[in-house]
Amino acid sequence: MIKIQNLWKRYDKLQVLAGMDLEVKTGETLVILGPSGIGKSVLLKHIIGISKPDAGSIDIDNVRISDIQGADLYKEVKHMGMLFQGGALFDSMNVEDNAAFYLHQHGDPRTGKHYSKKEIADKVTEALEMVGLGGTHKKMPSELSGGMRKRAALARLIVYRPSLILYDEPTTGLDPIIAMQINELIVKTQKELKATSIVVTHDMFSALYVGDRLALIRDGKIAHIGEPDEFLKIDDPLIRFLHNTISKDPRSFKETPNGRTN
Amino acid sequence: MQVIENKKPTLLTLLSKKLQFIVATGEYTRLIIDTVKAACSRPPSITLIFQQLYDVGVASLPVVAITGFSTGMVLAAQSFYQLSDKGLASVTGLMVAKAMMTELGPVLTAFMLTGRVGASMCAELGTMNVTEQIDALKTMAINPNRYLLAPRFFAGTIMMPLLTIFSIVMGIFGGYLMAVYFFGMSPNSYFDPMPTHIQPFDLFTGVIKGFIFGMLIMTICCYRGMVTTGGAAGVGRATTNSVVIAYCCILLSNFLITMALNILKEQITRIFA
Repeated sequence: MIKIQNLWKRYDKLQVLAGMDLEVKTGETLVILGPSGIGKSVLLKHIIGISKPDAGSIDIDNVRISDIQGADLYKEVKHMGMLFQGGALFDSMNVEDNAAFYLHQHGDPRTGKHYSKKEIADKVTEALEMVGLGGTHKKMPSELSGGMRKRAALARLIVYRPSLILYDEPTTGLDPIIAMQINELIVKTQKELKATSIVVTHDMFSALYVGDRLALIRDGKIAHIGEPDEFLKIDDPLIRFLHNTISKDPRSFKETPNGRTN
Repeated sequence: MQVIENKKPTLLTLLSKKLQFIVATGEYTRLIIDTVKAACSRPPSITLIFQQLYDVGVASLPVVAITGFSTGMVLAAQSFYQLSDKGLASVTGLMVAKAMMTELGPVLTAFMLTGRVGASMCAELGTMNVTEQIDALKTMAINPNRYLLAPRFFAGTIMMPLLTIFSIVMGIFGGYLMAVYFFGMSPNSYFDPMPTHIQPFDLFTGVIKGFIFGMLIMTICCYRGMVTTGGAAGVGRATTNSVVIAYCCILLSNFLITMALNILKEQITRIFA
């Protein structure tokens, strides 16, 4: 359970977060919607502890992430992962080394067990195949397209099976086909890892496809929050506008248990 | 951008704008302390340290050799031309050795290292920062100070004195070739005055300067890289900025170290005696 209470953050003259309150249940996928530059990514960086709030608190499973730093923070962050907007792959390493980086550094985040080279190679291959990047082990990030970079970054995350995954604009700047692949991967990852996920986006299609609950951020606070059906009924011009940007409910594209789309 | 503009900036915000230099100095000091703490609590991997030792030290050997060698030749030529008509040509070797050990060896090596290694480190770390790679490290529970900075600080501080010694040797060798093969001095007359007039203190001066310059180059360039913002243009600005600041700090600290060492010369010489 993630509990955010009265969170404030200002950068110079810009009050980005202004008394935000939010709760995220364990195992759910919460999508935070809002236009670019409104503080969605800032919120994610606060949740994972790499930015500190001016006031307020963030508790993850009863640990006050907003108050701890140094070794204590890194100990908690070991169980989390974040997919950055541009992928943030280490450009001095190839795809394989990027994906293996966490396991080389920490081993298993839960038990602390260090893996052999063979075990790491197997886990990396499995993760790369899961995101559809099998055979790209030796490619450098500069040789990958935008979509491939995001998928490689996702492989770097799922290889260590974090219990909390934060997605920063996972489909922004991608063509609809690749965006759909990323959406499917988010759902697949969620199902396999049973992780709590927070996705920030301004893509309503993606939000409805992956989200268990949707939230709208405005003026540094959560303006509306709810399950997809009730969220779409809220009388808010921005929600109406975002809803009108899609022609069909994306949930109709989701695979049914027998493998066919609805 | 839908964000709220706070119309009442705090006193701290106003002060920080006016006193950017003090704020930057504070951040710089904090970064060094945090890096030393992180490295002491859990040392960085040996592989990373060796990679940096190679990048900073071994890969810089050719450029330091050329710098030291050419400076030694120029020094020998200038000394010979200036002193031979006064009957002092025999001190050419001594002039070269003294100048290389106390000033030109450490300062020119530091300049070359700033251009070759410092600028590249600043650009690399700056690019990592603006592309969120450093944030990615933090989200994977890796302390960037330990992983990225500690090996660089260590390598710079260790390799710079060694490169300085190498530069001094190359300078004396360059001067020797010039004096003996161009000006026709005998090898003995080039080297003879050295044992009597060169003291351990002179070499100590060069090594200490190399050590301090190494620390300055690495810490300044890494700090500028770590606080880079503003995309590709920001990386360019940070790199130029880091080189200029490092050059200025090298020159200023060179003066201070020279004065401090000469004031303390007697005490230091007693230690070597």
